[in-house]
Amino acid sequence: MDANVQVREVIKDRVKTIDLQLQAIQRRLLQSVDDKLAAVRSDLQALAQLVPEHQFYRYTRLYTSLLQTLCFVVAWQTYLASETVVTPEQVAERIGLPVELDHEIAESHIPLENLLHGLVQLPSELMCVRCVNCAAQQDCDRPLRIRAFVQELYSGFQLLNLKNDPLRRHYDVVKYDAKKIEEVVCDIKLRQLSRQS
Amino acid sequence: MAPHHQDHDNDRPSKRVKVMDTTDAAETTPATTVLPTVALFQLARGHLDAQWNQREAVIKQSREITRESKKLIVMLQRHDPKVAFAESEMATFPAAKAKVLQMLSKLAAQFKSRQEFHRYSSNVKHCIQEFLEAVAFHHFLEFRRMIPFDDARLLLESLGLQLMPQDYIMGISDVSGEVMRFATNAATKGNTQWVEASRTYLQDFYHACLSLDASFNENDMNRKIDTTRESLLKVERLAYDLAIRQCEQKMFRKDQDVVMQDTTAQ
Repeated sequence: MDANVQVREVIKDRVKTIDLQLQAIQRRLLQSVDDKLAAVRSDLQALAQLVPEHQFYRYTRLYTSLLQTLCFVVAWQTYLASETVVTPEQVAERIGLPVELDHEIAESHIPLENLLHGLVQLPSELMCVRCVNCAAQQDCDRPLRIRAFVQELYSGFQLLNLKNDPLRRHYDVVKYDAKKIEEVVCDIKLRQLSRQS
Repeated sequence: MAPHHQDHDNDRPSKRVKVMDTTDAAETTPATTVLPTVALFQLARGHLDAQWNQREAVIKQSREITRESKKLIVMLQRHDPKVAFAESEMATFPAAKAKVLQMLSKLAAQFKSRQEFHRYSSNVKHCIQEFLEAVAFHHFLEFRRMIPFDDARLLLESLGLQLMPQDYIMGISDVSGEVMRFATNAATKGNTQWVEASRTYLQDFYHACLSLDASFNENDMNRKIDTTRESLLKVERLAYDLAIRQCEQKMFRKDQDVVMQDTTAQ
């Protein structure tokens, strides 16, 4: 049992360092963070090595929120770059671990729920950072695009049969974010601020 | 507000093209190209649903196993302390035990791999502990000792499950209560042997508990150690009471002999 405790301690330490790095990244999300992401990626590889074979889920509680944040960062990056929803393949490539989709993966991987958690945090970030700022800065086309993007995400989430778990709660929040974005878009259209109106 | 319609179309030029593509395709072939996001969420739905269903099945089976294990323990408690322990003496016990073993195998068959077990370990933890309690109590009645970790682990692995050290210790801890109950029954029948055996077992076990260091940080564990201590104190008290009573009986008989001698002398 002591060996188990030791492994947990080491994993916790590593998770903490990666967490700090991720926090630094999150604060500077609007700028390019590729180099920091590379550092996180190599740390994550080292972490993956620590987990004994076949026991990925035994320690999963220690790093699940880390993976969620990481997925969110990658999804955000993808949005900034191309305004599309990130695909699992892209996530796997950026982070360096495979994403578990339809077949089971024995080694360390990213469970699908973590990817969903990452995606579900996008709308509120978009709402806070982008929508309102854009409108304030007279960039009035962007909110319209944001609305369409969030709608796409939201309708995707509506397809899921969510039970009463954290993912469900985040999903409920998305509803309110979508509504707020709708309001911003409404404001813009009412005043015919958009170049397209 | 005529521009309204145009706005919607011009929102996402690239998406607009895609949408038109799918409608065109829908007219020609039944298999439409689906937006990648939709495909992702459809996949996610299938994945999450399957996982949820499996978890429900595991929880249900786990509850049944817990119930059956508790029944086993009740059966064991009925063992007559005066008789040497033999499984065959209790008519229904072997069948009941076999039933539980079978249920556990069925549960293990649900997990597609060793890794899967850990995924649901929090759901099956309780039933494994309960089963272990029954097995350990059985072991105590048969051998008057604690079942070693390796034996327990091998038993569970033969069923296809894994035994985590925490589950072993938590399961074993509950046996103290059962031993105490058994000792109380034995004491009411005047059976000193079993009371002493229980006391020895509990003393050894309690000392073993104390040697666990704080790194084993389950809050339940502290509560269980306290319960073990109480059981130990009760059994020690029982042993004491029995011993006193026996001394009294010996003295009473001696007095009786003296009285008899006096009366016959007269």
